[in-house]
Amino acid sequence: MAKVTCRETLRKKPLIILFIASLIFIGSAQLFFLLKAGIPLKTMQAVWLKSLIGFSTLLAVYLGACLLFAEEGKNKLYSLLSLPVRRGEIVIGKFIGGAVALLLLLLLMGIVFIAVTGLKQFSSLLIWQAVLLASWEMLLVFSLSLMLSTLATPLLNISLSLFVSLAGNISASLKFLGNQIDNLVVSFLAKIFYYFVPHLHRFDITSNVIAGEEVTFSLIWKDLAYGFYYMALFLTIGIILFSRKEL
Amino acid sequence: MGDVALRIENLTKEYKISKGERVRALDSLNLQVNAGTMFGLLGPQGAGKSTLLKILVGLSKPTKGRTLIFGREQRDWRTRARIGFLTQEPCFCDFLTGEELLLHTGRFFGIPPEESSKRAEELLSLVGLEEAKSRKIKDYSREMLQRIGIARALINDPELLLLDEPEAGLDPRNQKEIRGIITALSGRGKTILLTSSHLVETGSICDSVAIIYQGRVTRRGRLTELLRKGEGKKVTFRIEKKGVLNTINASYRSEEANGQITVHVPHQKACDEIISTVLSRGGSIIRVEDEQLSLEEIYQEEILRETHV
Repeated sequence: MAKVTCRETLRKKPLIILFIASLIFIGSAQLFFLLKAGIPLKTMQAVWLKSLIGFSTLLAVYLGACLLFAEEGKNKLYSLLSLPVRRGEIVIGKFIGGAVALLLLLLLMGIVFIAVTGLKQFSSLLIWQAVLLASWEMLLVFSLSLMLSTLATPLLNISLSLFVSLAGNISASLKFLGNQIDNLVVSFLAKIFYYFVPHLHRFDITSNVIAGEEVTFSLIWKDLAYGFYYMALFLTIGIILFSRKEL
Repeated sequence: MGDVALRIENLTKEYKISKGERVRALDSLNLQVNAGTMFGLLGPQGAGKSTLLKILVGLSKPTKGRTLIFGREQRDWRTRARIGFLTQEPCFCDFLTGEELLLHTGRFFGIPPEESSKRAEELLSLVGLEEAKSRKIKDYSREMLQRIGIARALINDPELLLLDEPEAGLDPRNQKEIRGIITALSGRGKTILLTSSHLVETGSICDSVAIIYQGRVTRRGRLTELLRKGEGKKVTFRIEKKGVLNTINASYRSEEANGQITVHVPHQKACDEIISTVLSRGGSIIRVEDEQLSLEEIYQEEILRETHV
């Protein structure tokens, strides 16, 4: 099922349009930097990384929202669920297939980046670590969106997933805001978000890339484990909700 | 033939439609389908036919009651390995070819690729899609989708085949062809439960049928028995009081011509009631005749009666 899901994913027109838009953006931005002399390599890398994180989040959110309850309606799902397969296996199969497709798209984004700017961009270990963490963030957001698809409409799912992604990327600031602000309600909400939303900013080490600060492997492992924990949590909740869902 | 393939006991399904409001799609439904027979579940749209099939394949959970498939609780997902299911308006991964779809489905049943490939060939031939086997499903017509859906439902050589409105949306020629395929399957000893709102056409190919209306089975039996039960009466009378006529009309099919009213009733008891009502209100009975009702008429009588109970 994962294989078919992967093939299905790579045929989704909105996803492909979004992907092509990301390639055009990445390619043209890097081309602009190349033509404009004096732009440091690290700046180019940072812009690419930020674009990679942004577009991969959009791709993951869209895919998660439409993979289970596709635009064809429920009939496709009826055919699948009438087979001797547990619903949990369907969620896992969809996740694996979708994840492989997303990683392929991410790889293509990397190839375009290399094609425009050359291999030297990938000479440092730091950029590889940054790409690894960005991929992990994408998979985490994908699992979140897949989970939400079991209880929300695609539009609501996309809105919620993007909101959580945004909140997760500024979660460090949310804690600060929660402690500083006088308004009790805002302070309470900021703290709630801080404690319940995955801290996605952990997966963005663009600032380290710019500053040339090494990131230790133990920290990378911790971040990967943190991401894995959330992915497992979201998928488990997704499986439970999907197994109980009336179709 | 005597073995029970499917037993449905006291099955009730309720849906929440809004705050505190519930609608009952199935109402204490009891049904039994014997192995090796073709059973037709007939009824109008919204009668509960698709809901029942959804419960049988695990898409929906019953509110009450239970279903046993070959003596095993339906809740066990492994039971589905013995079932083939064709949903109403089938929809599949449209980038696959017809052959790929069958091979892909075969994997879910753990069928080895060689075996799956052999079965796919046979089934494509059975449903008349050998020519189109390498064509992508997105290029299939509505009728071809129905055919590939039947082939897909058969890939695991199921003991029980559930077909939800297999003729829906097809023109009469294709409906006939699909019925031909289903009849051929029945000849191979498969147990088939199919739903339809095409009473006469579908009923005629089934060993036994049940009429379902508002989630309840109103009539069941072998087709010949049902038709025998359909030995109705035709009462023709004359009456001045229109109010009486309204109450009679509400329950049974009737027509009015030259000041005479003819009412078609499904049994003697109803006939006696009408005669008694007409006479007590000063009317006169002109004639009472026997009438053989068709399945369509029996069905219409049932629906009319149920609507006005």
